[in-house]
Amino acid sequence: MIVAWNHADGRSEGLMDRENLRILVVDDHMIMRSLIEKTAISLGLKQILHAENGKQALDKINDGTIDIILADWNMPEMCGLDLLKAVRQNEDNNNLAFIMVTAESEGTKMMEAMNSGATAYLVKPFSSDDFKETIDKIILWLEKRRN
Amino acid sequence: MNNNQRKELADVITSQTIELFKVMFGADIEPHMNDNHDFNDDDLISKVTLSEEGFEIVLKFIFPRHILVELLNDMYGSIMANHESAREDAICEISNIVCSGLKTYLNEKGHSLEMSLPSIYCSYNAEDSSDKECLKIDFFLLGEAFTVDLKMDETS
Repeated sequence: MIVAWNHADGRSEGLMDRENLRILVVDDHMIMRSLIEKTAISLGLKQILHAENGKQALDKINDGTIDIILADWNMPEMCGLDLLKAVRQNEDNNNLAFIMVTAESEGTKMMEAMNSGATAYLVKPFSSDDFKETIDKIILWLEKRRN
Repeated sequence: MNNNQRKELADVITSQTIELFKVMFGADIEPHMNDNHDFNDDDLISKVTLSEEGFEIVLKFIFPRHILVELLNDMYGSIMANHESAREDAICEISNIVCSGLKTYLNEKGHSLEMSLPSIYCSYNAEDSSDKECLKIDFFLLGEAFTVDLKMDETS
């Protein structure tokens, strides 16, 4: 389920070409990375990269070509929240959407993520409909930020 | 742990687990309270600890490997299903999601529990015969049981 959202208005139509969006899935569990990739592909997203933790993710983000990060919270090496903070420290990443995809559903955790710059917060386990709704809103957010 | 606490924890774990299997795997599972379960070396076990000062909950998720193989096979095909690392990964993610739900529930009731990352636990051994208070819930999937085992301990 989507439990939090920043800056959504939901009024414009999706114009962005999904095939060109580059998604980075960051999760220490291969099974979840695969599940997210499978669901993303079913939504027409084709460019999907993987990272096992925040540190690996930062290396891939620094080339400036990522549009959406989907990151777990609890990971070894560097957790999702630290990754989020590191991403938001760089102004070049202002138009990069960050979805916290986590089983952490405590209100305080959610607030912490949203206040740190998460674009959306998706609680595991989520259905493919939940995921689709989140991605649709993210695409609208990206269009709004970039136009 | 009194009967009300047992029921409360069992209800949270049960609802989290049922929802997870429905949403992630499209599978319906049936819970069944259980005090006796025979474990064997084919079981794959993951362990998560929820702890705060003076209080600890240890949860173990005990799956016969072939149930995980079938689940993964249905979702990802036989190549992934036959990798032990994929099975370990699946059971750790299942325990991560269920335990996060339990942690959220308990913390919203006043606890300040921290959760360990799930890890693979080698054997169901002597440690488990301790007198820590224990709750076991079986879930039936594909005609067989997997078990969630919870132990609570007051630490000093």
